[in-house]
Amino acid sequence: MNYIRRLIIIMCVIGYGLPTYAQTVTELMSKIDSAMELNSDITARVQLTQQRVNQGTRVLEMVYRRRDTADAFLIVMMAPEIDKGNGYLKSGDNFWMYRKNTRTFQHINRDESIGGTDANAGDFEQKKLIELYKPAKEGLDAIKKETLGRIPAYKFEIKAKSSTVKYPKKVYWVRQDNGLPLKEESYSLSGTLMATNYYLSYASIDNHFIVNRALFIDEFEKGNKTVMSLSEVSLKPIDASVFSKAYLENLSK
Amino acid sequence: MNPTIPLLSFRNLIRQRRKNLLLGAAIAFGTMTLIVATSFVAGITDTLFNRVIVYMTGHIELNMSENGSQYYSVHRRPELMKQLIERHITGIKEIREGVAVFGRGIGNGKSDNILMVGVPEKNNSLFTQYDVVNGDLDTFNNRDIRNPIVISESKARYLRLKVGDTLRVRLRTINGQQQSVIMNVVAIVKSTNMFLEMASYARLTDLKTMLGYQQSESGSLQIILENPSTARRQADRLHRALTSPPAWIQGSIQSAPVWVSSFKSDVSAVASLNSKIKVVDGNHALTKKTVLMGRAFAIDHGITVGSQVTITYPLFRSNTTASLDVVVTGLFEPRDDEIPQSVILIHPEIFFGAYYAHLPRLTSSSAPIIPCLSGLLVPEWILQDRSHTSEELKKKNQDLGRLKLKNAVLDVRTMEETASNVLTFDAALRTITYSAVALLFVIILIGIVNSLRMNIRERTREIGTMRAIGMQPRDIVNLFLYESLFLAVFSTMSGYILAIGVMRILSLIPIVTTTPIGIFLVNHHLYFLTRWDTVIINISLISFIVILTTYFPARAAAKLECVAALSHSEG
Repeated sequence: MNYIRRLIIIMCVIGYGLPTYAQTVTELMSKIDSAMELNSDITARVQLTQQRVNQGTRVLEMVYRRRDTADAFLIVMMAPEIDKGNGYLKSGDNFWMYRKNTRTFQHINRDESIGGTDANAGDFEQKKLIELYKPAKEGLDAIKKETLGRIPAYKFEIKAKSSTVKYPKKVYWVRQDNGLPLKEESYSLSGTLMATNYYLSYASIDNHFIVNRALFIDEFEKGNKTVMSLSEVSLKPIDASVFSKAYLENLSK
Repeated sequence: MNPTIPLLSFRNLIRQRRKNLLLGAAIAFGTMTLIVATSFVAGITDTLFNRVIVYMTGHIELNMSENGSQYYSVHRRPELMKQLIERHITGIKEIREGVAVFGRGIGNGKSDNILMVGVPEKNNSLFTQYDVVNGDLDTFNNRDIRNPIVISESKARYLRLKVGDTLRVRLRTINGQQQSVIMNVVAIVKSTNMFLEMASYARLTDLKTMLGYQQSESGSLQIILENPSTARRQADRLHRALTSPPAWIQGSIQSAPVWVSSFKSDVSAVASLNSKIKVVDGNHALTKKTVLMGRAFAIDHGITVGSQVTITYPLFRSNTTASLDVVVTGLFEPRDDEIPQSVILIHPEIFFGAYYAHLPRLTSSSAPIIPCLSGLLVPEWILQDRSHTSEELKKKNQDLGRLKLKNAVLDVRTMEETASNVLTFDAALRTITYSAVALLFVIILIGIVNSLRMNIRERTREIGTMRAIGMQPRDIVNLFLYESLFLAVFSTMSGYILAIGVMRILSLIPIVTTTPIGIFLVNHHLYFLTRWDTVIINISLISFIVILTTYFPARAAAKLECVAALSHSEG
């Protein structure tokens, strides 16, 4: 179920195609935050290809619907067949897991592990980067210019404001021309690199940049990685009834 | 009573030596069976209570969770809680600190989930439950070795680890942060107890540091009792005595003293609070960002709505201070003169974020006496209702997650709820053992009863003779009762000695098994716990049955006329 968390993270990285001339870390963080704020609804079909050590490759498909204004999202599993019809619903502070076979909703507590993974419900709470982190350095040294592949990027490091943030340290590489994240490294409390995310490509839809291909690498358990790709992306309004238990139940009838 | 009756009874017992020997042997066998069985069951219970549950949850456990977390227990002021425990719980053998974590371990090319349990240094009696397969347990206490870990043989095999190898572990701290640590394998151990085989052991101090505890803080407090059967009663008593201190921060703004607290956010409490204070400037609605300050205090210090203020306060167990930055969202006028202007009221989300992270110092006057606000402000922790079954406890925890309380929540639990699966297993095993023994005992008893009745019937003519020479019916009854009493005492004592011998022999046989039966073994041997009270009850019960069985036919025979008794013939 780690894919659910990754899906949320990736779906948050939705950039506005505005050029940026931001030169401070705080401004770059604000840029990422504003990119994460989606005023319209979003619907997408998501495919996740998970590769885990000694477990082979697993392909998951799901339909993802999100409405930031109501702090709600709905995930309905489409593949593999055994998971088809299962889903996850978040509405405000409440987070449920739906199981089609038993037609039951299970409330997931904030620190409860989802599907036995390191992801927990607290990971899905919408919080701005600027609220959680602050620049690790100030001044001219805070941002470095690097080339990632052939793309000019700004590299900067941020650290958690409080001890309740999942990763105490992160390093970002964002495009110099529009501030879209290209790469993100997450570090543990002891300073070990735990995860690296690559945002491989973005699509432009209705003046929004939406990441449509990403790679998540588990740096702790080497060999675990997930490739995510998006298709059928739409920013059209979603009916409010979609973000309800009844909707999920009706899908499996 | 005629003093010769006991002597006559004893002589009769000797006279009919062969018959009484056989009868006595049957009684002794029944006694032995009963004592061995009860000792075996008592041994199992003792093993579960004192070698399994004691290391899992303790007999009584005080679990303090923050932010609705069900994974970690954090006692920020454990010394105060221990004082309360010692005041209200009797027969305490030990109060332990329960710190454990599930993480992901990476060995040599293999990974697996791993349960790490914190073990105090120099006092790791837990390791007596294990056989060392490889390595040296003494190195566990060696401070020169960083993050030593003792792992089970099965886990070491799966992760392909040897002594001296390193194990990388990913875990989550008490605050939810990702943590990665490198552990050094110092010993590989093996236990016949399947519960203990699941865990790996780190030094308690190391594990607390890894998980983000301060050394002065504690995980759950696990109470080990002299008599575990009193756990529920004592837990109820402790629960009734627990009351939370109010959550106040005594600090200062621009050197002016302030009292900072938080308000309960339920509808009735908010309504009551609004009847005590009137928000005269700023946001009237109580939201997650609410910070209310007395208007007069604000004016005196040049603070307005929207100002960011820094509240500085002294820390608990420290000479340093912490600061809390808040943005004032509203100014209030007290409707009640009791409420001082220097009181600042903050939403629980902001308040407890600072309160638990940087615990304020408790002073002798740690809270202003404001009776009109009592019940409206938050306590340091909320005491949960007692649950009496594991189902109740599970439901309570689920509800706790939904409530999303910002306060810490204290739960008093006993092994009856937390280790109910182990206790159910114990109860089932007791039932099976006692049923089997009861069946065997009844069969033996029927034989004994029948033999006693036949014995008296066979001696009816003897009774007639004794009656003919002037013996009273009551003396005849006493004669037989004494015979039975002597028989019962000698036989049950023999049965007890036999039981001791049998138990000793059985406990000498080594049993090497990896099956769940291993949980009943102590150092690869069966374990019997013989309790004097149980032995006395067993012996008394058998003696009583033997005497009762004798009484009725003896009385019937004694009532017979001499002629009828003398003319009685068998067959």
